[in-house]
Amino acid sequence: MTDQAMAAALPAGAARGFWADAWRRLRRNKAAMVAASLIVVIALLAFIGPTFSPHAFDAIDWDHMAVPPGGPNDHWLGTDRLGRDLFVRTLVGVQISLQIGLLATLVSLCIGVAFGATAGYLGGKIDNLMMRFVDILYSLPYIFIVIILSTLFERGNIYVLFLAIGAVGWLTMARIVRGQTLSLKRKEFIEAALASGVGTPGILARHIVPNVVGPVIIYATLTIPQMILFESFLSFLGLGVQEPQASLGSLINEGAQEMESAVWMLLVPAGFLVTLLMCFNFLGDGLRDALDPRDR
Amino acid sequence: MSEPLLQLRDLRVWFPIGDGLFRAKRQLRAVDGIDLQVAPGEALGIVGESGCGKSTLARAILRLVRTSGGQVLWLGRPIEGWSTARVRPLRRDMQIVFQDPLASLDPRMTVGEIVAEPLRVHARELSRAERRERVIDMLARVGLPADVVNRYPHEFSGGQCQRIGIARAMVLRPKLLVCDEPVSALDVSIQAQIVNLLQDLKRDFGMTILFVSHNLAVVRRLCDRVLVLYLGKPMELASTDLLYAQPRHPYTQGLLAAVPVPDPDLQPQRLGGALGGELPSPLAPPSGCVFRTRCAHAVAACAELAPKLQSVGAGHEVACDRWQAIQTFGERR
Amino acid sequence: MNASDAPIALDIDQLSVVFDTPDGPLSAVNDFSLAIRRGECVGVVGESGAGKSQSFLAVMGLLAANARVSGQARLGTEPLIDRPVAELNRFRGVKLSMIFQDPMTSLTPHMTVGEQIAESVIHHLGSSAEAARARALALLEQVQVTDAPRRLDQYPHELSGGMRQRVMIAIALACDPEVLIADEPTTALDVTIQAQILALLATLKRERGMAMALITHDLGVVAGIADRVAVMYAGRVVELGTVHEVLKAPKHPYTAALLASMPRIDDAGTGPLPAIGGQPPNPRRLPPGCAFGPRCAHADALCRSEGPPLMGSAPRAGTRSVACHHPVQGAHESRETS
Repeated sequence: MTDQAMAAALPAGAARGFWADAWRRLRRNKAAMVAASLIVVIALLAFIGPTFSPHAFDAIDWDHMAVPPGGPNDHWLGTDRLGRDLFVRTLVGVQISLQIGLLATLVSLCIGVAFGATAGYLGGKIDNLMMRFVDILYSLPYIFIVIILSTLFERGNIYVLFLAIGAVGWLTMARIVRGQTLSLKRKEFIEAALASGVGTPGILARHIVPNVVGPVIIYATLTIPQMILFESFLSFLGLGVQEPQASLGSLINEGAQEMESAVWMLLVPAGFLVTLLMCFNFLGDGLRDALDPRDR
Repeated sequence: MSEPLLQLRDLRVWFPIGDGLFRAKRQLRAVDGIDLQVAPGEALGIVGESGCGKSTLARAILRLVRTSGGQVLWLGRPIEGWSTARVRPLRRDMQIVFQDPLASLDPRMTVGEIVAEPLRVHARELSRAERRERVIDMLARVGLPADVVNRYPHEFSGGQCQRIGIARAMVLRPKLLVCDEPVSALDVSIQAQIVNLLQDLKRDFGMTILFVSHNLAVVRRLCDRVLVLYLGKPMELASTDLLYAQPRHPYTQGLLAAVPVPDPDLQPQRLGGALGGELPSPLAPPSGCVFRTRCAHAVAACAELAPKLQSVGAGHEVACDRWQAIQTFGERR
Repeated sequence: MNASDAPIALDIDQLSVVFDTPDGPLSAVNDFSLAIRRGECVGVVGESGAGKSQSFLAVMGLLAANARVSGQARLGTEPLIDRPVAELNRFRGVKLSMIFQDPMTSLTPHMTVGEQIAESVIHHLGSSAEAARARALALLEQVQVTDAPRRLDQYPHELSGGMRQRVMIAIALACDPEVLIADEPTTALDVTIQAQILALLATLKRERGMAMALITHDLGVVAGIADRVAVMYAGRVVELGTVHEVLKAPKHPYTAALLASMPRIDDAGTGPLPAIGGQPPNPRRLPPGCAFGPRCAHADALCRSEGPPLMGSAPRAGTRSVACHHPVQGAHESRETS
C-alpha cells in the first residue's frame, strides 16, 4: 500500500468544510438568495432611511394630516392621522420589529439550546423532569404572562418585551434541540469521544452543540418572523410599544382603524411586515435544504 | 506467564427490558458469565453471530457500558465498580476502533482535531505544535499524508476513514486496542489493507488487541486465540490453530462449516451441511446449554445443566458436556 | 449441470445508466451485457459502486427518477426498458421477480405475512382469497419456514431476519417466475442463516429451472450456487466465465487480486495479505483508459490511454471474456491450506 496510491485518491482542491458546502447549496437557491438580499435591503433602509427624510418620527405636521402617499412636503408615503410622516414611522417600526425579532430569537436560542442539549444528553430522570417543566410552561397561556409582566413593569418598556417574548419562545427550541441531541447521542463519534475520556461538558460543547447548529439556525430563522408577528400582535392589542414609539404592529393597529378613509396607513406597514415575514420564511426553507446533512 | 493485562471473572451484562411502571422487568442477558485472561501483546478474537454479546462485551471491558455482575480486572485491579472520573485516566491505555468508519468521526471536526482529541484530554502538557507533530506522525503510520489534517471526514472513503479512526485510537499508544468489527463495513478490496495495517501496528507498538468480529476468516489471519460466543455465553476458547483445525464445540463446527469459501469445487457440497434452526430470543434463552435447540448432539441432560468451559487439551477449552462423544474435523472414530 | 442450449430467459444488451445530479451526470453502469438462460444462475460480483445493483434495478424499472437508461433488456421476447409502468407490471412479480438485501424494509410492516404473499397471487393471477391463502401456505413450506400455518398470520417484525428473507423469497416465487433477481439476499444475515438461505436458493433453482441473477460482493457465496460469474468494476463487466474459470483461473487482474486478498477460512497463513492498493474509483472522476489501471500491478501506457473492451467469444451468452489489455495467464496459485 504505497503512499502515492493513497495520495492519488485524495480529494483534489481545497478542503470543503460543512459551511462552505452549505453556502454553495444556498447560493443555488434563487428564492432564498432573493429573500436574503431583500432582508438586508429592508434592514439597511430601516436604519439609514430615516436620515434621508427631513421629518422626525414623532414630528406632527399640522398642515398635512392624513395625506396619501406622494404627498407634499416630502411625505413620500403619506402621513397618519396626526400628520406624522409615514415613511419615517414605518421604517422606525421596522427597526423596532427587527430588533425585537432578532433579540428575542437570540434569547430563546441560548436558553433553548442549553436546556435542550442538557436534557437530551443526560437523559433519564433529569430529562424527564426538564421536559415536564417545558410541558407545563407550554400549557400556560403566554398572553397572560406577558400581560402580567407588562403590568408589573412599565408598559412599553422594550426590554420587558424582549424578555417576555424570548422567555416564551425557547420552549420549542428546547424540544427541537433535545430531539436532535437524542439522535446524536447514539452516534458512534460520541461513543468515541467517551472512550477517549472526554467529560460531559466537553461532549456537550464540542460535539453536541456544533452538530445541532444546523437545525438550530433553520429554526431560528423561522422563529424570527414568529417573534415579529407576536410582537405585532401584542402591539395591535395595545400591550406592546406605546406612543409615540412605533412598531409594525402598532402602526397596523392605527392603520386598521383608518382603513376605510386612509387605506395607505394600513397598507404601508402591512406591506413591509408581509414582505419581511415571507423573506424570512423563504430564507429559512433555503437554509433547511442547504444545511440538511445528507450522506453522499 | 507474566501478569495478564486484563482478566474477566464471571462477567455479566444484563439489560432490563421494559421500563414500565410495573416491577416485573425481563432481563436481556447480553453477556452471561465470561471468564477470560488476556496476556499482554496477544491478539484475541471474539466471534459469534448477532445477539451473542461480543460488542457488549467489548464495551463492558472499556467501561462504556455498565456491568451487572462479575469483575473486570485491569492490571490486577478490579475496575468494574469505578466511577467515570476514576476510570478516565485509564482510558489512555485502552482504546476502541468502531465498525462504521464515517459515523465514528465527528462530521464537524477536521481530521486533525479528531485525532488530536485524545491528546487534549490525556496529554495536556503538550504544546499545540507538539500535538500537531504527534498527530501527523500517527497519520503517517496509518498511511495518510500530512495534508489530511485540515480536511473533513466526509471527503474520505470508508477505508481512509477507518485509518483515521485507527490513528485516533493509537495516538496515545494504548496498551489495549479493542476493534469492534473494524472491517465489516468496508469493501472487500479494502479489508485486506486494514487487516495488514493492524498487523503492522501490532508488530510496531506491541499492543494487545481484542478483535470482535463475525468474520471468521479475518480473525484466523489476525488473532492468536479465539473465543466463540453464543447468546452471551462462551462456547469455545482455543488457540487459533486448534479452533479452526479441530473445533470441538458443535456450534463452532457449524459456524466454520457455514463460512463460504470461494472455491467452486468445495463450496457447493458445504452448503448442504448448514446449521439448522434459528437463534432463540435472547430474552428467553433455552435452559441448560443455550445452544441445545440447534444442536444435533443434544440429549435430555443438556437442558438441565449449563456447561462451563472445560479443558480438552493444552490451550483448548470447550463448554460442552458431550464433547468427547462428538467428532471434530478430520477425526476418524 | 445446466444445458448451455437452454433458451435465454433474460437478455441484457449494452445497458447503460446515467444519473442526472446537481453536480453533473453520474455514470453508474456502462455497456452492461449479459444473457441468462433457463436453469442457470449467474453471479454478478463487484464492490460498492460497481453498478451491479443499478443494472438490475434498471431491468426491473425501479431506478430513481433522475436516471437515464439506454440499451435494452428483454424478458424472452418482451422488451423491458422504457416500457410504461402499466405494461411492466404484467411481468414484474409474475415472470420477473426480485428480492432485496434488507427484508425488514422490503416487507410491509402493517400487513401479515400471509396477506403479502397472497396479494401477489390475487393481483396477478386473479385467485380467490382462500385459494391465495392456500397457495401462500404451500409457498411458506417450500421455503422451509417452520410452523407455517401460524406464520401466515404473523407480522414481519415478529419474525427473525432469516425468516423474513424466506418470506420475501416466497413472495417472489408466488407466481412462478421465470427469472429471479437476488440483490445481496444474504448480506444482512448471520453466516449460519446465510448458509441456510443459499442452500434454499440452490434447491429452488434446481427444482424450478428458474434463471437466477445473484448479485453479491462475496465470492464465496457465488462459488456455492452460481454456474457463471460476471465480475463488475466501475460500472462495467471486466470478466465473464463459468464459475470454475473465473474463480480458479481468473484472467482479469482485478479478479485475481481480489481472490488473493480475501482472507479464507481454510487458509492457515498469518502473514500480511496481498492487498489491492489504492481506493475504489470515484464514478465522477474515472481515470482515463482502464478504470482499474491505477490499482493494477500490470498497467502500462496502453492501459492508461485506452479502456479495454470486453473481448471473448459471444460475450453475452458465451463462456469466456475479459476486458483487459494484458490478461493474467495461468491458473491462480494455491495457498497453504489446513
